[in-house]
Order: sequence, then C-alpha cells, then structure tokens
Amino acid sequence: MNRHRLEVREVPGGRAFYIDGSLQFDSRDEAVYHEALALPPLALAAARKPAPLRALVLGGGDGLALKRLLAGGVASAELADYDPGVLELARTEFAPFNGGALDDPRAKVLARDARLHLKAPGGAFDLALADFTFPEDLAGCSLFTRAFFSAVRARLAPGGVFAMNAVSPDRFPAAFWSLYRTLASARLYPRPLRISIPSFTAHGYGDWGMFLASPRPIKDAELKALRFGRGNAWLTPATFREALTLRLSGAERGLPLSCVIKKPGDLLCLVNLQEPGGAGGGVMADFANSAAARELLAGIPGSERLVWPQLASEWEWRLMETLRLLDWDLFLSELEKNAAAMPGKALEEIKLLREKLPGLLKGAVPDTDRAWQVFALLMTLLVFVNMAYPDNAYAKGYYSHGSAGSDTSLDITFFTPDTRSPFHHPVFQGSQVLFTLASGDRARPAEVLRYRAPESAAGPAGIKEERLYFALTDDSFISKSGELYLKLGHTPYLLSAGTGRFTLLDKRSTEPLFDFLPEPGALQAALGAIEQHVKAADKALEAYKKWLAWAGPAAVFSSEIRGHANEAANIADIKAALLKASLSLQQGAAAAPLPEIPAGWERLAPGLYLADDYEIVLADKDGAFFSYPYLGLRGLTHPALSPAEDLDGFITEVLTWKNSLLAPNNPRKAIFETLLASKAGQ
Amino acid sequence: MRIAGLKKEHFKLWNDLVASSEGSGFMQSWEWSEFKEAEGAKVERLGIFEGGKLIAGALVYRVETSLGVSPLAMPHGPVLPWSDPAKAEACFVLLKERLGALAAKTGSPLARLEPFITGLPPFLGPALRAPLDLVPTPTLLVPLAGSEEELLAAMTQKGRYNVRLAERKGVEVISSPGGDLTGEFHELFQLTCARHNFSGEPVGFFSRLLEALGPAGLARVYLATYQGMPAAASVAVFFGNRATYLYGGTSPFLKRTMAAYAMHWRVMRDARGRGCAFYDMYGVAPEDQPHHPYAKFSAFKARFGGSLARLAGAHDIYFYPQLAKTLVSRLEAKGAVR
Repeated sequence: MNRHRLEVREVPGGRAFYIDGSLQFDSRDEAVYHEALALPPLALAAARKPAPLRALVLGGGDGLALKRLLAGGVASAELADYDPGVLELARTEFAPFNGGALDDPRAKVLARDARLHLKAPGGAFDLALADFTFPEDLAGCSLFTRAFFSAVRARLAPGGVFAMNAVSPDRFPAAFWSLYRTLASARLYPRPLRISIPSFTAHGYGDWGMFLASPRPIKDAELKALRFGRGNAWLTPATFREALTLRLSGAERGLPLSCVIKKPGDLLCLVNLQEPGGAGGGVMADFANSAAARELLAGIPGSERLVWPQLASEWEWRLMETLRLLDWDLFLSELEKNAAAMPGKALEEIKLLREKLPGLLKGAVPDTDRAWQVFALLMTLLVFVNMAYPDNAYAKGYYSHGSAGSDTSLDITFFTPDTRSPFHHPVFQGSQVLFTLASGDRARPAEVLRYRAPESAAGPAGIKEERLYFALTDDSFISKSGELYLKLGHTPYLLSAGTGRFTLLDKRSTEPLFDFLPEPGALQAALGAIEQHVKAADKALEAYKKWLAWAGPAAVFSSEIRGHANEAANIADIKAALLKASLSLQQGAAAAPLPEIPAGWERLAPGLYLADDYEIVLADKDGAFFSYPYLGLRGLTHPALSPAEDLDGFITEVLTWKNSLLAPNNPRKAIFETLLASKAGQ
Repeated sequence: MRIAGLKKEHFKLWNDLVASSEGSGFMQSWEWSEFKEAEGAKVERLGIFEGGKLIAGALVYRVETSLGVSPLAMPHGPVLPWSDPAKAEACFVLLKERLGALAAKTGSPLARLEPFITGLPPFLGPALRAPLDLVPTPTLLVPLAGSEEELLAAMTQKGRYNVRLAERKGVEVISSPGGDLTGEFHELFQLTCARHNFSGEPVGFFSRLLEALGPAGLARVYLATYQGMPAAASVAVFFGNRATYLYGGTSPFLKRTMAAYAMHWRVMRDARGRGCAFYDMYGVAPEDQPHHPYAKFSAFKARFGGSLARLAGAHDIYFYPQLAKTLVSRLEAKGAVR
C-alpha cells in the first residue's frame, strides 16, 4: 500500500528525497538531521546502561538514522516503517547514503505501522527513535499524540531514551510546545533541541525542532557529560550545546497557545493555526517569517532606548514619495537578479510585486497580500535605513509635542526615556501582562492573590483569584477585573477596596481577616493616579494606533511589531480595568463618610489607629470603632474585639513596618518598640 | 582629476577648502568628523584633486550596525565647486562612482547629500528628497557685516530693545572654549528640553563636543548670568563664514532679564570678530506655519533680523543593487549558512 508520492530528485552534488512534495532529506546535509536525531540518544543510553543496547526506529525507513545507530554499536535494532515503497528505495537508491544499513545482520526491518509495532509483544528497548514525516493529516498527527507517546514509554527500559523529530519551533511554535507538553504529560520528560538544516531552511521550513526524552528526567549534568566520538559531520559537544539552547522568543510566541495533544485533530489544528493561506505558503513569506528577517528587523541601533519612531505625516508622506519615485524598473531587475539564487517562488512573487506595484504605490492596502508584505518589508527597511543613522534621530528639533503641529510639520515623536509614557515598556509586549512596573521602570512579577470573596451582587461567596497586574503606585495595584488593592509596606497583608469596605487579606491564607472602613483619602489618591494613567494610556494608544496602521502589515515578519500590537492590546485592557476601577471607587468615595478621628490618634493603616500611644483601634466598615486587646483587656475605651492570632500577627507586622520607617533618633520609635517588646514578652 | 582618500596631512588643506566653500559647513570640517568618529561613526574622507590641488570632496559618515544599512551621510556636503557647474559635475561623477563602490563594500543602500545650498543643480541626477533632514531647513541667517549700530538697526525693534534691556539689567555673558561651563549649560539645556518635551543629549556629549572642537576655536559655550545666577546658555560653532547656534537653553525663572538676547548679541559680535559673515540660527518654522513646532523659537530668533534661507534639504541617491541585496539577501541569510 503506497498512498504517498515518493520522489527522488537529483540536486547538484547529491540527491533529495521528497514525500508528497515535502523534503525528507537532502544527501548533502542529511548528516545534520540524522546525527542530531540518533547520536545524542545513543550516547545518553550508552552512558546510562552498559552494552548491549537494544534500539528501535519508528518510521525512518530511509535507513539513515539506523545507519548511525548501527555504526554507534547497538547490539540490535528494529525498524518499523509502514511504507514499503520507502523501504524499497532505502535498499536501492539510498544504499550509498545509508551504507546498506537495512541489510545489516543486527537490523530487523518490518513494513508495519509504528502503532501496531509498539503493541506487538517483545522486550524493552534501551533507546527508541521516531522519525516521521511532517504531520499534515490526521493519520500523520496520530503519531504525535499522548496515547502514542505512552505506548512508546511502555516499550522503553526504565532509563531508556526516546528521541523524536518534531516540527519547526520557528514556524509552528504552538505545535512545537504542545509536543513538549504532550511528551511531559506522557511522563517522557522532554528536552527540546533546535537545529539549522540548510536544505530545510532553503525550503522555508525554518529551523528544525527535535526532542530528547526519557521516563527518567534527563539532567543537565548528563547532557554535559555526553561524548560523541570523532568523525561526525555535524555533531560535536559545541553544536549539541547550541542545539539545546532555545530562544525564548519562540517560547513566548508558542507557549500561550500550546496544549496537550490528546487527539490527532489537536495537532492538525495547531499546525494549521499558524499557517494562514495553507497550501500556497510562498517562499518570500517564508523568508520574511524567518529568524533571519526577525534578526534583521530587530537590529535597529539604540532600539532599546528609542523603542519606536512615530511617523509623522510628513515623514510618512516623504517616505511614500520616495517609494513612488524609486526607479522601480531598475530596482525590480536587481531584485530578480538577487532572487534568481533563491529557490522556488521568489521570482514569481517579485513578478507579483511588479504587477501590483501601481496599486500599492497609490496606497492600496490589500491586507494579506504577499506583494503587500514584500512592499511593507521594503518600507520598513527604508525606515530602518533612516533610523540607522542615529544623528537623524538626535538631530536638533526632532522632538515630540502634544497637539500643536500642522499637517506639514516635520515632527517625529520618539519614545525616549524622557518623554515616553509609563506604558512603553517591554513588560506589556507579551501576549499577557505578567509583570508590573514599580517606580524606576523595574519590572516585577505580578502577584497572584487567592482569597474568599464576600457574597455580593456580582456573585456568591467563593475563592477568587486576582492578578495584581498593574501598579498604580508602588503600593497600590489594579487587578485585571478592575479592583483596587493596597499594599501595606512589606507586610504580607493587603487591603482589597470593595464596595463600602476595605477587606484585610493575608497573602498566605485565603480567609479575609477584617472589613475596615474605606478611607476617603486612599480612594481619592487612587482615583487621581487612575486618572493620570488613563491619560497616559490614551496617549500611548493614540501613538500606537498611528504606528500600527502603518507598520501593522509588517507584523507577519517582525516579532517587534507583533510585540507592539500586543502592547496596544494590553494597554487597552489595562485602560478598561482602570476605568472600571475608577467607576466603582467613585461610588465608594461618594458613599464613605469618615468618622471623626480624635486628636492623639496615629493612623497606622487605613482604618487602623494607635490611640494615645498604647491602644490599638480599628474602624470597621460601618464606621464604628473597636478596641483590639493587643496587650490585654486593660484600659480599652471602645467595645473590644475578641483577641485572635491572625489579627495579632497583622498588628505586629504593621507596627514593625511603621517602626522601620522611623529615623533612629525619632522619639516615637520608643513607643513602637515598647509595644512590640511587651507583645513579645507576653 | 582624481579622487583619493584624505589623510591626516590633508587636514589643513581640507579645512581651508570647506571653510571657503559657500555650500558647506562645520559638519564637513575635519574636527567634526573626528568628533563623530569618537562617537562611533565611520568616516570616509574623500578628496578630489586637480593637478595636485585639492578642489572638492566629501566627508562621508556612516554608522555600522548589525543591519549594515546605514546611509552614506554627507551633512553639509559634498564639497563641490558649485560656482563652476561643469567642474562640479566632473567632480560629482568621480565622487558618485566612489560612493557606489563604498556602498557595495558597506551594503549602504543610499547616499544622502545635504549641501548648504538652496537648489540642487540638475547634474546631481535623480536624487529623492530624504524623509529626514540632519541640517534643519529652512533656517535663519543673520548677516554680521557692519558696525554694532548697524547690526542693532537690522534687528526688529523688540529685539533691539531687549538686547539693551538685558544690558541695563546687568546681565553678564561669559564664554569658554573648554568644558568649564558645560555643567551650567547642560542644566539649563535640560530644563528647556523638559519644558518643550524634546529629548536632549546627555552632558557627556557636550563635554566631548567641546573637547573635540573647543581647542581649535570651533566651538564655545556661552553663559549669560543675572546676579550670578545662570539665565541662558548656548553652544555656538564657528566655521568658515558662518557661526551656528547649535544648542541652547534658558532658565524659566529669569525670563524677564532678557538674558538670551544679551547672550546671542555676544555670540554675534564674537562671530563677527572671527570673520564670520552670518549667524545661522539653525532652523526656524516657515512663516506660513504658525503651529509649526519651531514657531515659538522662530519668533524669538526672528528678532535678531536676518533672512530665511530655504535650503534644498537632504536628498538621497539610491544604490539599487544594494537596496535589492538588503531586501533579498538579508532574507535568505538563514539559507546561506555554510
């Protein structure tokens, strides 16, 4: 049964093998792929268990991986490939490349589906390789599911090693990271590898991804200690180390979308998800999407500081003029000359660009058109050429300004450290806001808070999870759902500003401790800060609207621009949360009268007072005062609350915090210290 | 006629040529190129000789980046014998050829011409208006020929009045070619930047600028004080027949002392003493654009008299092979590994 179209093409200096038009190997650089796939697991298996080693190859009918295993001294190897056509080719056409591995006496070759083969009775393997074609249909995807990996695991010896060919972490980051998660969920603890295979890259497949996995987690020290022997075409400790290093950018792009692949369809969706247009996938777009292009676009000098130029209308107009006046005939012929060296469709796409050029120069913007992508890339490139000469950016007079400025004025707004809004920061450029900014632009992980929320109109009581994702000030935060939280210094306590109450929360437990009176001053301060931030958000959004209207189409090939789109979306989210918070706080501020605080009371925190230097008083949500028997019941002037360990702890923390704020020579320090010492002495 | 790289021994010959060329300015001076070099720019110094005599050339600036696509920038250049179009054209042909070779070597897709002239002669060929200027245009040129009375008479009435008012109030102006006033200058400069929301260079930039240009007398810091308090400061560059008001700042608290008028008046007289024919106010808003971001400064600058110079602005000559290579070969860079 041979449902697939097998093709062997002669290429200068070698042969290339295609299944259904997708490159399997190019003899000129197959060593990179097969050494990366076969040799690290072999070395690891050998390091973990003394010889003899039993190996299994699933797929990989071309015999090239098998050749490496046999050469590496395995005692026996089974190969199961369901396509007899491929096995036939391996014995004939590819024999010069695989050294006749299929007919080696140690090898047992079966034309059989890998899933069936795993179910067949037999002993455990010390190492297994999966070398399947790119998962393009449901049948192909079924070899990458959790069930399949579990079946592999069942056939591995306890410290056995599994290595598999995956997908490109560049091109299909979500699929790549889903495979990672799927392996992990099948308890085959994976280590991702990333390699550059010239022939794959030339086909626009991007850098290639593989996994090394084992039921026993693979430690760094083990990987570091691996020895690969001499005479490899590609694999050395250095190339292996490099392959183990995955760029975080790929992770960021793929991780949020990744999932555990339970059904073949999961993977099929993931693979199609990031490949709009499906079948056509043009070479130019592939290159434009390549790491090289991202590198190119990321290299703007001083970009960390300047972040982005906002193109003023004149700037943009002049740039468009430049594009209109370029000698396109000359330029296109130069492009064609250069593109002739590129494989596949590049020439066609340049022809397409030539055809569509008149429309593009008139300003027509067909949104997903490839000609437009190339054109947008050129525009972006010209911006960078201009930006590359930093004097232009720093030249006198190019400054940002607010509303003044006419249509023809030459003004460019740069987000310099002096002029940018608090929003222009990389923490907002991820797909989610996971950090907050403290003063001085320091990014901190946004805290996640879990606590039991009181019953309200919005819903019944229950455990609520909130991420404090936007710092209004260093000690007040807005959560994603638009609620205000006030931090109390470095104590583990927070106040949640709900309607009509400030609820005291302990980060270490989910139970709220006390409902304080909402303090109008704190509400007003938060409202003021919100107003400022909303203004800044509007400004930032306005700037991004303009920039993205212009640069948006280039997002296809620039992770920076994607970052900007994320940032704009995140700022819009933050703004919505701020507005929501503002609305509810305004209601709260209007409703909350503050009872009169007697002279001689010191405010420790909203609703918490030190009366006459010895008595702890709390104002509850209805404005009534209660004394807290911190040092006993003697001399209390208000109804006493019953002593509780958690409130004791809270008050001690607050007193310690307040005390730490006082200068050493401050006479009030003695009061705090006496209180704390008396408490400790009890 | 031949074109060749200039060496240190051509320093004086070159500066003399630039200084005497109407269409050039301080950014083509040898000292400025050394300053920019120290700031990280790469500079090619090209001279065109006729019978052993240096008659034209250009200091070509570029910045090496990981992109490798910096323009070949010639602010205030190229230096050509503009008054003799035939000869200028012959020089430009040589220069363009050399720039093409340089572009091929560096991958620069364009050369940016920015001579201090009002219209580009046709022999420069199809140069496109650049999206960005380095030398601001239009600018205001205040003529410096004549006696002090004549210079004052050429100012607007308000300008004249303010110059005298500042003197009556006892504003003092001191200047230095070294770094000793840089700190005071920078404080005022930063205040002004913050007020007008532009991004200013750090103080180190000015220290280095003064270090590079001060000893040769090319740059000075001016500081106007009122009763010992810094009120206005500026950095002026003197080269050839022009002095240029490059950077400035004023204190918002001492506006009424009109210290800035006294300061510029001092710069003008110093410039005249050094043989400069014009004081270049370095960029003003066109008169028909009252909302131009320069408009406020422009009104101030206009009080010193002078007339508007509408320079041609920066123009780009594209090297299509490099532009195509940048677009295509960069994209296939990944494929070209090994």
